[in-house]
Amino acid sequence: MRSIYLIVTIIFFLFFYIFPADKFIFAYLKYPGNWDPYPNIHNDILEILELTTSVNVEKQRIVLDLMSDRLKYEISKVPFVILVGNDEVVIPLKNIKVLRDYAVSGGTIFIEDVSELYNSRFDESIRKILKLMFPEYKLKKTDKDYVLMKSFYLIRKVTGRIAMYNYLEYIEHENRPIIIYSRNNMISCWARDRLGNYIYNCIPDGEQQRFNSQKLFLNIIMYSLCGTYKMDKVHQPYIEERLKR
Amino acid sequence: MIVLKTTLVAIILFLIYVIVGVYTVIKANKNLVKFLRLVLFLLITIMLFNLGYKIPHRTENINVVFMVDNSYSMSINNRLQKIKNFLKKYEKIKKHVFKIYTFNDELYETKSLEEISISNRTTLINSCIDKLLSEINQPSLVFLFSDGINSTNELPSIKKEKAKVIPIFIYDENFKDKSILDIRYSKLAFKNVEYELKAYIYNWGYKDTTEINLVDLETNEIIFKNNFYLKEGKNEIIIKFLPKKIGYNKLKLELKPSIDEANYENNYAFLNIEVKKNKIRVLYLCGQPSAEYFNLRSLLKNDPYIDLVSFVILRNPDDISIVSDIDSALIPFPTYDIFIKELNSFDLVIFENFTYHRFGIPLEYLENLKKFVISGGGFIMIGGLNSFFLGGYKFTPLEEILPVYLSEKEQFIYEEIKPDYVNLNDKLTKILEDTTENELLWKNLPSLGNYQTISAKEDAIVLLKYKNIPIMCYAKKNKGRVFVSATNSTWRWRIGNVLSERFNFKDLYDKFWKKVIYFCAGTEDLKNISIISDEVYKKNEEVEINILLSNISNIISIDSYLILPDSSKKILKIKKLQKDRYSINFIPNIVGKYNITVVVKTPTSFLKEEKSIDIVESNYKEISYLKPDIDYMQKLADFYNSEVKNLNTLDIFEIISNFKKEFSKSYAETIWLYKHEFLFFIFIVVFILEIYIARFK
Repeated sequence: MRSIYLIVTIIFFLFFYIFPADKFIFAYLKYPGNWDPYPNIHNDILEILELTTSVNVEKQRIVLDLMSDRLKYEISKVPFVILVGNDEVVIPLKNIKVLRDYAVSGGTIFIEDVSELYNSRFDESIRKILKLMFPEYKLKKTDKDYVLMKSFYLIRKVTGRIAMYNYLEYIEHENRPIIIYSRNNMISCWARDRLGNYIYNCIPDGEQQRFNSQKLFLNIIMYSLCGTYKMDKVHQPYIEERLKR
Repeated sequence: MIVLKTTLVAIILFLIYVIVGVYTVIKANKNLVKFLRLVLFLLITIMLFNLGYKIPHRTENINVVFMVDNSYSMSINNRLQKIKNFLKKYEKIKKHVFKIYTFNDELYETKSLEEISISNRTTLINSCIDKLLSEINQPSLVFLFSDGINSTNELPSIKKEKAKVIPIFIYDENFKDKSILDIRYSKLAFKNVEYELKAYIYNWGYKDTTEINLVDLETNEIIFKNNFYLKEGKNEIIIKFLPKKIGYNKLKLELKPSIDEANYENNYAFLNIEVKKNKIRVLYLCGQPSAEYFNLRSLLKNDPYIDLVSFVILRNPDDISIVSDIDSALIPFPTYDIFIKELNSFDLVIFENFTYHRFGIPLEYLENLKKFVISGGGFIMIGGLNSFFLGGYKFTPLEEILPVYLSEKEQFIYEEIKPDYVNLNDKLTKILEDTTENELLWKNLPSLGNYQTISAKEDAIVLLKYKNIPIMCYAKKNKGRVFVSATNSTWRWRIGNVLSERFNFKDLYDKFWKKVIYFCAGTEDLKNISIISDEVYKKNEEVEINILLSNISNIISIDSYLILPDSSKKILKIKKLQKDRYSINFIPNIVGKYNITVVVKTPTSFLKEEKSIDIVESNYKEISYLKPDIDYMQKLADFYNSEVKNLNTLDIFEIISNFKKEFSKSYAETIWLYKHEFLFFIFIVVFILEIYIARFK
């Protein structure tokens, strides 16, 4: 049933959907495997985004097929894509090139390893793909001053549902991160059951950690629309003063 | 003539002597042979020892020439008048042939001292002496009256045996002066980029500090002021300041006058500098985060030519805040600072999907923005739900400067569109040099995702349109330029680069927007490579040229070479001063046009810039150097084997008398006996006679 729904949705997007060019579109990258572990989280994310920021959001998410020959047509209409998983990811070589061209041309790719394992097959495959995609670049680690820590909220600690890594990894091109890679299962902090309760507990700091992780994820979205805006000189005195408190 | 007469007398006497001798010998044959042999011995001695005798040269009248310097510097401390006073007593003396010449950079024969007056010309002592000596053939004594200030350090080239040049020097006791000799400066400067000029200043006789000012002649504003300690003689002073005013800046460099200066005119120098924009200051206001903002900001931020200040509204007044202020990275929107205090420091203002009324911006601020544009600023409005009519700009000052009409029927439509290009030869749309390729590039562009239903005003130049709606257009408004984009989805051209193997849409996006930005900021003539130099330099003086690189990344190499006036090529060593700033130095030793070429290689381009400079003969400004130059006069004296004389102790007659004696000695004629033919004739006659008598008698 779920597959039929997805196929219908994809067909709709391919032929009838007009990508609203000035709105934020929540775009997932689909591949054979567990690409959508938390199917409805976008509703919450987009709602909070709309309520708390000036971002103009598109309420529906879209799904782009990493296996498809049409990937380049679809991806060229969205500035931000999300790749999530907990198992091995295989992407055709030609689409790895598409993802590379997309990222260096102005797109942002957010990758989330939701396996919550130190040595996951997802992580292994992603690192291989990134090596193929950007042989000239290496993954770097964020520090507390990195732009993602202050693109909307001031984040003092990197967390997700778990707090395995106190950093995000990223690949930088033309002075901006084009690939952002998280391994703390950040997006699961948004997942709710039908009654509206959060499904997954956040470890070790509970709800405070959830709120921090949600803010960090919103920061990543805000970065995809504002770039390194918060690194501008004009913001620094304010931000430094608040971080001191 | 005298020598000839003497010789003839000697021959006659000798012949008489020989005849008498022969007659005597014939009578007394015994002693004749002895006598003849004695004569032969004497003749051989004369020949062997090259014996001769000197006849002194008598010089009753010689030419006495007074060369009097009447160049500008001779007006200082009445130098010329002192000479005239001195020469008055010799003018009426008829014993010698006195001739008076005046000179500066030319030589003139002058009939009387009264005719001599100060000229404003410079001095060329060497060429004037050459000219005079080339006309002299008789023994002459040339008295050169000058302060020694010469436009060149070169000495004369003509020397004559019969002429002697005696430099007469005017001592200026207690000479005091400060003067600007020369200023080394580039005629090109960049706004807000430190500018450096070198001033060469003479100081004679002052030991205190000197105030040096640089004044803008249009505003009378002092843009540089400092006190310098100047050592005795030549000083090099470096003046640095930040040019602020775009365009031609007429400046005056002045040394504050001191008491008892010989001349105050040389305390000033004027310079004209053209100040261009080095960096474009852009203010980018965006109404809400978007991919358009993300990409355009990224482009501007990575352009070293652009100094970007941007504000994007991250939260509207009606949005909810879920955190306290200390957890938020938001800052207050500084409307007053932007629209009142800082506006004129920008070259370009961009409104993207930005409405003024939501933030309480009064219409007066928009009026200020309109004035900014009319007086030469740039303005870009990019579409969105908060732009044009939908943004509330109808009946505001901005409506007047926009090249589009704002209508209440305006809509913002989400639709995949491929606009038609109107003019691909426009400076903004000509991305590729090849017209066909350029057309193909625009034709194959990825589609846009939205547009605003605006209509173009009559003065608008439309670049792209869709169903008669100007998607992109621009117009000039007085001195300013305004550009309009009815869509905020051009980022799709950039990311759409994934769509084509053949075309580089990202490159088109980057180049197109940069052209728009530069054009609107009034700096479309900015170059990647700027060779900053003067246009004229002096021979044998170091030429220092700065190279400024802009908007070039990933430099592989930077090279420079010179083409000299003789068409030879010289590779120049480039010195890195700081990021994007280099310098080259050389010392030209040939006069003429030098062509400087700078070549910068990057992985994707090969950039070249050329500039020519003129090298001229070193030529001092006479007014700048007024201290009598004893060194040059001494060199002149050495060259003519004479001595420098002081005007105050000068005795013309003594010198003339000495010259005569010297001349008589030097030019006494030597008669060489052995060279006379008659000597050989006598020798042969005596020899034959001796044989005849000894053998046959």
